[in-house]
Amino acid sequence: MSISEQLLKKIESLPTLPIVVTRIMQLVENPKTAAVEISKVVSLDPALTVKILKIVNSAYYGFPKQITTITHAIMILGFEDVKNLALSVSVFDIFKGKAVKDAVAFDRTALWTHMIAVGVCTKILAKRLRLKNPEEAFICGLLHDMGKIILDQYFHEDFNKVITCVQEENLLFFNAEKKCIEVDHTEIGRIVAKKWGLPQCIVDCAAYHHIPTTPNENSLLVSLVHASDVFVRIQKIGNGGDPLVPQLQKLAWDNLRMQPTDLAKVYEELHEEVKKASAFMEFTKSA
Amino acid sequence: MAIQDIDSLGLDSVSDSQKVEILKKVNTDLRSSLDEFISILSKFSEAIATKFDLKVLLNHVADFLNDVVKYTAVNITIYDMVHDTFNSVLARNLSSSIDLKIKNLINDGLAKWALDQKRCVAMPDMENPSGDSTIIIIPLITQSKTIGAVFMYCDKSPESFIQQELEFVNILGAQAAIAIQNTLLYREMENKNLDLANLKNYLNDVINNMVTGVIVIESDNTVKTFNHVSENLLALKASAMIGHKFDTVLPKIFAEKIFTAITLARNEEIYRESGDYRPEIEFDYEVDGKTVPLRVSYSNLRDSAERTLGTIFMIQDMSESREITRLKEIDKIKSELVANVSHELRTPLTSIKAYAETLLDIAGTEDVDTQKEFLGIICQESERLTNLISNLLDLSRLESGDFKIDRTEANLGELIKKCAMLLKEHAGQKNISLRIELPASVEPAMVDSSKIEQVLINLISNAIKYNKPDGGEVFISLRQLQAKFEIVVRDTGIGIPKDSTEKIFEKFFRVDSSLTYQVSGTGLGLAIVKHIIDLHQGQIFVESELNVGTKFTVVLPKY
Repeated sequence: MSISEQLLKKIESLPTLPIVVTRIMQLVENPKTAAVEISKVVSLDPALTVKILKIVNSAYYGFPKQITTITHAIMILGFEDVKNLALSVSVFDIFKGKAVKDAVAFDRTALWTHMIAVGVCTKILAKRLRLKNPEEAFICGLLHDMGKIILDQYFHEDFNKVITCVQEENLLFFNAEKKCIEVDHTEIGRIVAKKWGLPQCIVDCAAYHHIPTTPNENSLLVSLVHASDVFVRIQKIGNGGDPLVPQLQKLAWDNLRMQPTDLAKVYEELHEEVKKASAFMEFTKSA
Repeated sequence: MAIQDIDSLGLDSVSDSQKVEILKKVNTDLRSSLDEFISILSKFSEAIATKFDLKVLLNHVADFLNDVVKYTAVNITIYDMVHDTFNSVLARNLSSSIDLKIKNLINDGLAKWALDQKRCVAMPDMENPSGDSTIIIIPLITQSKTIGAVFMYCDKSPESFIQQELEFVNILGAQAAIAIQNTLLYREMENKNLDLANLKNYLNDVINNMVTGVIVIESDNTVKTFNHVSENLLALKASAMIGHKFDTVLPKIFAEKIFTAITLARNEEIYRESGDYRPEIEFDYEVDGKTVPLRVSYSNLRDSAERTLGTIFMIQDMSESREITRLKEIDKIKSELVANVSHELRTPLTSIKAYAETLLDIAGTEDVDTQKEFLGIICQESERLTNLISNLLDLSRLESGDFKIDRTEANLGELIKKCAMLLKEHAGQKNISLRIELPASVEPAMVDSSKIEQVLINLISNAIKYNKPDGGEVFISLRQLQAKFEIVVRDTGIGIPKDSTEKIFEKFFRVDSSLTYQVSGTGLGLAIVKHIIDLHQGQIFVESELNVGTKFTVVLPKY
């Protein structure tokens, strides 16, 4: 049995997304859904409710008033945002905690910070382009490296091999994966996201953020995530598994419709917004 | 689908039939939602597409929002960025309590938050304990601009809103924002057009009420502006000028001057460098048989990018200013005359007084010779005084037009001889010889002898007075031509500068006022001479060369 086959088999045994989240996703798909229906479903999971309200009242949204109920959160943030929020919180929940002590030094908090920063950056770029749903861009960026977390938590030996390879040969995590373990985090991310029935844009961004030229339905979002990955690494926020900066693909740059002089402004905003998103970091800590 | 025990319920545990049911429902709902959406949007777009009246448009917006979400009150506001306020432009059923609630939301920063999120925000009305009312804030934003916000108060609990309603409200808000912006832009454009029209009228008024003629000629030689004063000055109609090429409508003399001016103006830099650039021309213009002296100043018209648009001409009627210059000159001459005449009057009076006093002292003595001599001098000086006064009298008669001639038959040769005789002694004193050349026989002339005598004495005494200090000559001749007599008086004196030869016949004129006290005279002589000759329908000419001499030629017609 090859490594990739083993990987795929193991993925089958991964925990599933909570039913509450999948139900919320279904409900939001239907335009006739009332706010009360969503709030009923969310309320079934008190922990999720608390976490959503925490984020909603954090600096990340900067809402001028206290939001005390999920219904208010839905009315104020909109159905889509609450869905994405529930999704982010749940994915964080699944992966948090399993801190493993081992010989290979790797700062997992830094990886989370990297993912949150890419999420924030993607949202900033989406807002610049006036995309309709910046929160969707956020979650696409946030979950782009979910494959790395799965690798770390469920295929820890392979993860360590990659990290060693990265450190010894000064390779990009992505290239080290190819060299040492046959599959890579983009493939793992794609398979898991699909299995969980996550929105297609999240699947595509997880799968193609290293090669944004791959034809797909969400190529603009993929480009934004790709660029955000590069920008966040240039700004040295968190750690994506290696200290290197991948090359920014021309297609992705063109899609941003930006001037090089605009970058300073984006970076400034990025640092500011990452601070505001610190509430997300709390969910990555072990209970 | 009922939600059961969530811990045990994975997605996989939903049966296939349930999945199909869920999908079916989603499909039906999606389709009906899409239908409703398209129908509302198309109606809305149709209703607002051609509305440029803000009030009508806002009423449409309010109607359509009510179709999507029934509200009890609505307030549509425009955001004022300068004062950071939301100003109501349309309100329906806005009670003071609801208005206050909305104001509180704005003060809490919720309206700004909604604008920032570019999405509607629905807030439960916290003050309503039943929890059955909601305030919805809809941002009005276009791609580039924040227009304002709509506040809706609904008697409906926040929970009962469905996703679609909020989505529709969002889209209607975006559409309304664009329509409102278009209307505002349209209004702004109308105001700008009005401003432009007002400005144009204002400028036209200014241009037409100027005391200067203004003509603007564009780069393609078309007349663009032709104001009232230009019309009056040039006796042309603006309507016949504007829009035509200047060289086809302006009178030839004027068009030529304009052409030269435009050429100069367009090459301004070159001429300016050569120091030969005076953007001004003066010329006489004939209008209705009258000559008007015009001064035309010109300069280039440029746009903000320094491109030449045309040339502007300012036309002034110089008659008045010339007249003023002339009057000023006359005034100066008059004051000089007063000084001059009083001096001239005083000189003989002083002598008369001095000799008379001395005579009083020696009266009764035996020295008869001295007494006779003194009396002679007194007589001579009195004569001089009489002459001066009669000159002044002549002048006043000239002024009043009361100076007439009385023609009798006379012999001009005899008259010349008589005058020469009278002045011979005076000439001899100054060591000047008089030479006379007369025809053998002289035809009789019909003239006023005494006046012609005055002319001759004036000319001959001038010739003596302004001759060389010693050894000069005065030559007087008479010629009889076919229809006229020609008298020439020529001296070998100081001459008259060229620019003065025309003015010497003007009353009070004296070539050089610095000569005033060296050579006595009132400056009236030649003016009187000219007048007398004019009354005889004759002519007088002067030719002169500085320090060589002057020649006066008097022509009198035969009768």
